[in-house]
Amino acid sequence: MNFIINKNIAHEIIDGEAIIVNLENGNYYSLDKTGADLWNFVEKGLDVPEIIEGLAQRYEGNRTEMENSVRQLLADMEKEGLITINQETKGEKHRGILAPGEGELKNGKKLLFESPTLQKYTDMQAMLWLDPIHEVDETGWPNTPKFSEEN
Amino acid sequence: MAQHSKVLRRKLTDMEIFPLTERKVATREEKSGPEAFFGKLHSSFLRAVKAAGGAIEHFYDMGGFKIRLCFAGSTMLPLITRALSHLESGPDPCSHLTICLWDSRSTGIDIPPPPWSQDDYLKRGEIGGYYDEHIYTHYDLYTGILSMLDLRQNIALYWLSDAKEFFYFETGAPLLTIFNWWMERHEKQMVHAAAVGTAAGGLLLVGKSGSGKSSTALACLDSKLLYAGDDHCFVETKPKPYAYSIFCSGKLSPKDFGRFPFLHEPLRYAKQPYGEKALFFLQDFFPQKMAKGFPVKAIFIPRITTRPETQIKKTSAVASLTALAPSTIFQLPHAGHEAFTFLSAFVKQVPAYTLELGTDVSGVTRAIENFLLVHG
Repeated sequence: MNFIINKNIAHEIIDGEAIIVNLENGNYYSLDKTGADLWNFVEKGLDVPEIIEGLAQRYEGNRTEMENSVRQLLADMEKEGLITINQETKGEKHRGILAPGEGELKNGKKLLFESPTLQKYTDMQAMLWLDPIHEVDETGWPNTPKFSEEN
Repeated sequence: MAQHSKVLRRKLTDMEIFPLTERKVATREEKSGPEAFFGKLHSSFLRAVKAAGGAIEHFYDMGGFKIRLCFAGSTMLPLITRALSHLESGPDPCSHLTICLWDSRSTGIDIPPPPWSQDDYLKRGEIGGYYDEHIYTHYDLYTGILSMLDLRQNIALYWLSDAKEFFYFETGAPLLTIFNWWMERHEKQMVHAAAVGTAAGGLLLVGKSGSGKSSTALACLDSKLLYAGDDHCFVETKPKPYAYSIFCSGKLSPKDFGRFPFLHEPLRYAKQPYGEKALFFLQDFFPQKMAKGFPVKAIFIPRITTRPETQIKKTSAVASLTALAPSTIFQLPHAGHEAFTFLSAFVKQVPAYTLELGTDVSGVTRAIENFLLVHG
């Protein structure tokens, strides 16, 4: 099973950190280290075992804990509407990109695995008309708050 | 206060205002779509010009383009032009963009009813089905301002019912939606950021409202630094990161008045509804400090602290993008993936720093000046 990133999601990974923006509801998210690696794997279409293997090749840690963390983060992302299970998966294998690339390991050593969390920000919701239903005047144009020249 | 000049009042022909070069018979689909509504709305503008006794034109240099504002009568002039006065230029018959502005109350000319339904209003005021590759439509449910842009003709329409109900904050950043639509098609992105610096180079101050952008930018008026905006500017990535000024307005919370004694005069003339920020126009008081633009050397993310001294610390590009992208995108109708991609490219080109603001205002500007001396 792999995932696709939803159409209304804008995202970017820079220097091992990720920012993810839901253009539909104003929520945005950040991920660092392991979380950004996981997002990178999701974007490349890796399935869950491949994501776990990819992280295991980069991070030192308890494998079970790693698996649980991956599944939890993927569930959180799905719940937040960032990703969807890909129903049209073709069973492609991505072994070629599982191994760490140049510079991904420090002095050839794995980093300590830290359970990734999806940091969520909701402060932009106030800038959206979440319920843009309104009353209209006799000409058909919406009624708006009245301001005077002195305001 | 300085008065605005360079007003050109004369009667314009319909073809001058609305130089349709490809007039054609509309198809059935076009008759009920955005193009047809744009045409009807523009006809209302032409009637408003006649009713007002002529059009009044103002010209501006913005981001390397010549922008023409064409008013039906004088009622809306002071509401729109003061924030743009630092960019005003002489008349030019070859403007890149013409914006037609009017209100129904002062001209006595109504506009047609909206052809869309209530369900078509989207979350940022976009109108579902009334924007396509060429025509953009936005209705601000808060201010009652209708904006449309036809990119094929480079003509925009800006209407509201009654200019006397113009929201005072809009006078500080008028035409934001139209400017953004048009500039993004010309490889520039509007950003929610303040901009200060020197002719050789400056920086963007980014972050949410209340993070210290405006107050930091205003503090620079009492220094060697130039001012290119406290809330919005355009940026481009090619050939190098560059910021362009849009508005010469400034805003200040009443709680900060005492910290900015050099703003005493602007604050005397400021508009300030009870409890709101005071709004003033800096071209009237600091014309020598207004910059049209400069290369961007850094992005600063201000943080308010209680310490007297100001500190500048390196931070990540993602921190910079997080401070810049959401607050930019969600206040701009139609902004989405393209804007995010543009901003991602921009932050990769420009180093980011946290600006830990000290309580000593002069220390803030000294820190920025010193930074630009080293990095500018």
